[in-house]
Amino acid sequence: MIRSKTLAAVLLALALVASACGDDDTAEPTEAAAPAETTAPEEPAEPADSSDPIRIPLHNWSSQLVGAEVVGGVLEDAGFSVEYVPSDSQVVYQSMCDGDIELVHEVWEGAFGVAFQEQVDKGCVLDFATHNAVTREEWWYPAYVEDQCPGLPDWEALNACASIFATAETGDKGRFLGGPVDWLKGDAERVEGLGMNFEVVNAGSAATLWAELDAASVDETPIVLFNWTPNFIEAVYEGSFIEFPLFEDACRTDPEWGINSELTHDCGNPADGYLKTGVGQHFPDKWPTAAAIVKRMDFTNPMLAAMAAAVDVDGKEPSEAATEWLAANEDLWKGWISG
Amino acid sequence: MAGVTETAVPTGQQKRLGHMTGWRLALLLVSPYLLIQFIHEVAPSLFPNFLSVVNEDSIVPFRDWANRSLLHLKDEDLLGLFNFKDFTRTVSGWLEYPLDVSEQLLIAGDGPFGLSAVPWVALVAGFAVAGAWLGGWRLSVLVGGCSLYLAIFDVWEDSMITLSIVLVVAPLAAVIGWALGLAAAKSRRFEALLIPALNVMQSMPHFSYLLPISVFIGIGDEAGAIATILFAVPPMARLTLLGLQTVPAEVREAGLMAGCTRWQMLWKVEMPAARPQLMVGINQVLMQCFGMTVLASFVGTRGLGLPLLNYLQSLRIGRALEVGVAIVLMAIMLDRLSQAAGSRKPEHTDYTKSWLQRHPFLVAGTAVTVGGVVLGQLFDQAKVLPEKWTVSTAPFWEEIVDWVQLNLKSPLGEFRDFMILEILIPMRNGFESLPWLGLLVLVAMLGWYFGGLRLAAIVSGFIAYLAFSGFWIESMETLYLVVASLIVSVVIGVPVGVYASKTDHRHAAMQVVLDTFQVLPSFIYLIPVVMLFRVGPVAALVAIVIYSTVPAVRYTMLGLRNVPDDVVEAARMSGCTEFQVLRKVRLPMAFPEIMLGMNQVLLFSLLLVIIAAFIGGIEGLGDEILRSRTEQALVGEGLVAGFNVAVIGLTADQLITNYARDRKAQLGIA
Repeated sequence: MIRSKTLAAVLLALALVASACGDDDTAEPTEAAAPAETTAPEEPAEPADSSDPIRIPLHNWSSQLVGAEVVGGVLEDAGFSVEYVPSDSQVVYQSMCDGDIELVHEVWEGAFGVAFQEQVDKGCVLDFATHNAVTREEWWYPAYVEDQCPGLPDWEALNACASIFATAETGDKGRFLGGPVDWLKGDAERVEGLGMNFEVVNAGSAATLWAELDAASVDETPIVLFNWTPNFIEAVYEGSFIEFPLFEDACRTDPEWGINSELTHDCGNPADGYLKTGVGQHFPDKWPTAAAIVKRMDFTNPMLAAMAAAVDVDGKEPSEAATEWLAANEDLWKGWISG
Repeated sequence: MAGVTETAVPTGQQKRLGHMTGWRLALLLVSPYLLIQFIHEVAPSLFPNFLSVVNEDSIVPFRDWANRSLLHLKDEDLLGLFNFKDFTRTVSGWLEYPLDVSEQLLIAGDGPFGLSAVPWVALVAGFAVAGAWLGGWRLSVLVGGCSLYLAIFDVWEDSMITLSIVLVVAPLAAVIGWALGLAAAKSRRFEALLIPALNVMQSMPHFSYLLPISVFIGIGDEAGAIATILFAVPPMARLTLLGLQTVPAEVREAGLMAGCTRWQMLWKVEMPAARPQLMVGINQVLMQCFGMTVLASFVGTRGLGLPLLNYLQSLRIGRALEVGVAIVLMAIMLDRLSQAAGSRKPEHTDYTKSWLQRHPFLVAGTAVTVGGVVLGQLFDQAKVLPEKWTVSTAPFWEEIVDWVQLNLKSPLGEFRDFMILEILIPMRNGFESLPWLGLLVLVAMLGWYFGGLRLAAIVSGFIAYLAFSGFWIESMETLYLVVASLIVSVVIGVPVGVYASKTDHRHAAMQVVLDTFQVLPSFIYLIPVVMLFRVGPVAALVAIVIYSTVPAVRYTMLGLRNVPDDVVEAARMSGCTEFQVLRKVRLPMAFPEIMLGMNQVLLFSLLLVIIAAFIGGIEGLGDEILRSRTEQALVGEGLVAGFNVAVIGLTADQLITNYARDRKAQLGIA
């Protein structure tokens, strides 16, 4: 007993000393946990960039996985070392703030806008570049529903045939399958604002949205669910977005605005959401050349859709798809490097 | 509670309520609750609202406290001495070196010793030799076959990363757990501290740790490693403690008489005597380590977790299943090897034989490793299996999924609607309208009967916490689904356990099935379940039941197989039919064990009800925890909601363990 206590005390003391030493060496607390090789002296030669690996997160959807290795491949070609880190797509912004991740190249306004903006407001993450690609997130239906509900994609037509979307738990109301609660889409508010005869059921993850869509299309069960573009689903299922009253900022804040003068949210989502690149606050100082390259990287909608389709439709592994993409688009990305 | 064997020793329960049995006892215990519920329903105006749901103003601000303590630990110096975040990051940094070495040896190459990665042929052959050495040719075939699967199903690289992490983490977790268990066995005071801590650690849902871990440890392999250790240590500590506590006094005395020193006593007497429990501990450590593969990928750990999630996301279920099976096979492989190593008997060395003859496996092992490495140098195919040689059964599984969707959809749809309308929605409404005072009184009565005033105070404190945490309704929404799953799991699991306990053959086969379902990442069945039952409570219920039936079967088998043979024999002699033996003797005797199984079912369901939030369509604590990932300001909510989950588990755990202990004493099978 005594022996084990002593041992525990010694271990604890060692840990404390070590953590205190970490403090003295470095300005940023995060450096204490950085890999050993990162303390190698920075070369003062031509690129003033650090030789530390640039850490890029991997998330669980295909365009991001391919894109991450494209970004990484370009940076490696330019002489940087890159490390890929799997991570949760919400928690990653906290990690970027803590200096554990350098850049996120697919910040979707709809899904991650809140988590991203929180860190940008704190100042530890930079809103670094905006891609050419625009994102749209909206209620969506597969093409076969058009036969069952005439007048689509108009929202009033959808509301008129709400009953075909009804299920046991929604009673006579239509069932709208929304995205995960943490995406904060305000669907329930919209149903209320527009006085729709629908009930929102939130799926727990993107994967369950696709699973339902897949199951529904086997026997053409009517379904209306949350979807977005660019997305591999476009390549697999035909369908369209519901057209709601056009979005304006005032719709979310001013009850007077729109067809319902008492409630907000009586409109659709923005049809052109952003897709941004976010970087940690120290990234441009530590890797100035790399930062310039990342700033020039620009993804378009067709590029993202193709990356997703290579994996989800053609069944390639993400790294394979990235290698092929790099080989096919050399002129484009060489331009990002040379500027 | 039919009396099987009456005993002269009065237990706690008997002291408190004498000889009351059956429905009269039950009625007495629930009557205060019924009274409250009656007033609540019949005369709501007499029933103060705050005794039903605590109103917003009176909620104890646990969330703010949690938030503030986290911020403090992150940004300020603890006691003015050191920064906790730097401390945790330094400690986790120590893991980096072993993780690197292990990964470089298995897959990455360029290790610190300038060695290249072990070629797959060498590794497969090496495992086969180890199997032969430790457990004969059967084990050799099993282990070799499992590792061959990893190569030919094209999951080699990611499997090796996962394996390399487990090879570092599992021994660490086992040693830490063992040390904690040992310390608790030697000191009552430490035991009193350790047990509640273990209980909380084991029943907090993984997802409430996500954000704190990414802050204090960062993201990467170390973060996943630490998270895995957190979950793998408790069963090892528990089982070590159990093993040491159950060493028979005679064995200890024999040690003393032989003049053992304390050190010899520990190593030569107590540890060998506790070996069965220690081996179960190792088994559980391995199962937990591999079971964490997918969750660890949420905090940056590489390996099989990320590809599995990605395959599910693009609905490639067959491929996801193959990855999941890879995880299961690795767990089985390491488990069977370590079990065989643990039960090896000392061998008599025959010095008349040559050195070669005395060490055949050492020689064979060296030969296949060297041979494999040489082959790897000569042929690339031996180093990494070329992709065109790999196979996949994914199309087959996808066809099955399509067929089921096409043919079973309407009967399953009817089942789903029935479940939702007739069972789940009414049940949910019932739980939501339950006044907290009512539940508190009910739990307090049960606590008093099973364990006296002290237990009553503890469990009613738990319910009071739930009521004042601000997540009362959410807790009830979670509890209803857990209770529903518990009922279904018991209805399925107990008969299956009865059936499987009949012969050794069935028992062994069932063990494999149970291990598989325990380790197979639950994410895999979330997607098929949604395809069949759509997003909603039925899909969640089915997913939970698949997982939580495992302990129901396991403990039923354990209980039935532990019924003393002489008791069964006596029953047969007195002319019982097989069915009577089961109903009147074996099941009542196994009942305490089955109740402990229920406890595990409940803990398993609580873990899965949170993961089932990824299905969606069920509100409750899971949603709160998932939502808390988006913003740092919500970390407190996530932790408090997670703690609510733990508290639900602890309440049941306290009641059931106390009941089972008393009942076992009563039956004389303690």
